[in-house]
Amino acid sequence: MIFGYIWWRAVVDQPQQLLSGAIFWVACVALTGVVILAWVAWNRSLARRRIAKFGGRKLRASGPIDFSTDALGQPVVIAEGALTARLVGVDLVDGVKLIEPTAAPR
Amino acid sequence: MLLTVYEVLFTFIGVYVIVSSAGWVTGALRFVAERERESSDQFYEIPENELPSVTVLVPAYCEAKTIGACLAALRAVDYPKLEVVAIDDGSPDETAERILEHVATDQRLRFLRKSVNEGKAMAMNDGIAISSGELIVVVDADAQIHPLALRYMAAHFVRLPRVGGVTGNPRPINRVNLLTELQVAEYASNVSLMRRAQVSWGRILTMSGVISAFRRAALADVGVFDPSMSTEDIELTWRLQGHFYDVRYEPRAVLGMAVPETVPVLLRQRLRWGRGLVEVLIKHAGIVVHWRNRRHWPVYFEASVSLLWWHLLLVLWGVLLFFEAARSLGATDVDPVPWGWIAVVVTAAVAQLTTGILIDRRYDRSATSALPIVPWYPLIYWVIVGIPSVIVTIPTLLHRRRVRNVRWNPQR
Repeated sequence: MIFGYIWWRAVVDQPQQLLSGAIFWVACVALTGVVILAWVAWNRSLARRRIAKFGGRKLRASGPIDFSTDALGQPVVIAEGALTARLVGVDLVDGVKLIEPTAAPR
Repeated sequence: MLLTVYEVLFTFIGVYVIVSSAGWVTGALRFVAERERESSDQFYEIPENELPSVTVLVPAYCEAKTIGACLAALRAVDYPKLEVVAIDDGSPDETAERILEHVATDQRLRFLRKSVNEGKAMAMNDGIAISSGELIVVVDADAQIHPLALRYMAAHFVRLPRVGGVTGNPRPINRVNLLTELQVAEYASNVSLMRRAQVSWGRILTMSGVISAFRRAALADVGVFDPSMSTEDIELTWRLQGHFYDVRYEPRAVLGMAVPETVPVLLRQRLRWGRGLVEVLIKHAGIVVHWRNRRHWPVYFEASVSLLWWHLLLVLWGVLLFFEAARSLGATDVDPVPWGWIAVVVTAAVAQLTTGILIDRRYDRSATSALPIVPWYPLIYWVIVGIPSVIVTIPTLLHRRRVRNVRWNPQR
């Protein structure tokens, strides 16, 4: 209903503005489509050339994630068994984060 | 003078909507044509023995009411090498008890109980520390994953070594009022449609924090979640892409989730999102000067202009009200409302929303029932979600970055 009211006011009060706006919209859709497709094609051709020249980028070899400190620099101790235990607790003891297995649920 | 300012404002706001909606729609249609045809389904056919092991992290704080359904959905997931780590971040309610009920009956479930509440990012990082999966998937505790979602996401990591992250397709399931219906339209358009278009452009703005998958080796390379960011999901997405990992969108990886049901809760959520976006734009501003990051430029530019747009939209509303007041007092006879222009702008927005809903119909047939309220979206919703962006942008730009971690907002 609100959509119909807006269009009714536009057609009755400002048909010229509506027409020029509609033409602008159609032009935008067409131009944006061309720009996006050109942007994608261009980037792909650059990537193809890079792969042909350098053999492409490989996934960087990396070891395990470093958990000796947490993301805020707090020291972390991961107790034995924490990586496999089904129940694990995290405590902060004297500024050190301790991750360790806990007792089984009753 | 005021009339000129008003016309410039209206032109900028209208042109932005028209140009950006054209970009979203054409980019999304290109994605659909390339990746969502029936013939592309064989991409997901991976032999069982080639599927990587997956750890699903479920960070939770005060989620006693919802986490049971979340874990039940995860237990129904069809995936051979699955480990689920539910993390209770020191909740004072019965979240831990609800988790233990499931852990006791399913060997694939593990429970990490934190005595101290440190926020979602830290909870996820602690979960990663004890996890074993080659892929790390994060699922919010108030969400319910589709049984096949993990297979759809894992296929990208198996087929494409450069993929560092994959995000899924969250769908609102608590459709109880006009606000939640508007969010159904929003998730089909502003989330799914835009994400498809962003993939076409080269980089995406963010993986959804509610469902994201990461390659463990990529996290070892770029680092884990940054707890000082308001939106750790956006920040990690940009960091991965900054290290030239592909981050992909997988619309088949569907997940049901709860969205805010009241305006205050929605505003709080959007305040956090707005603050987080500005923080990320500041932190990663360097990408705009490096040619090698050029595929990130469209997303950076669009995000920056959209912030300016929200500000000017609210200014426009103010000027419009001023003119209307002046007219009612007989001070002017100028009709301030350019109805022709408004009709075009609203139609462009409605076309974008409708396209998003129709594309996503394949994954969520019920989304089409939100079509009738779509015309209200640009009239009401733009203002509701614009206000938080305006409130947080300038203060976030002016304040120095936090060094402490961001805490939970249980109601999003």
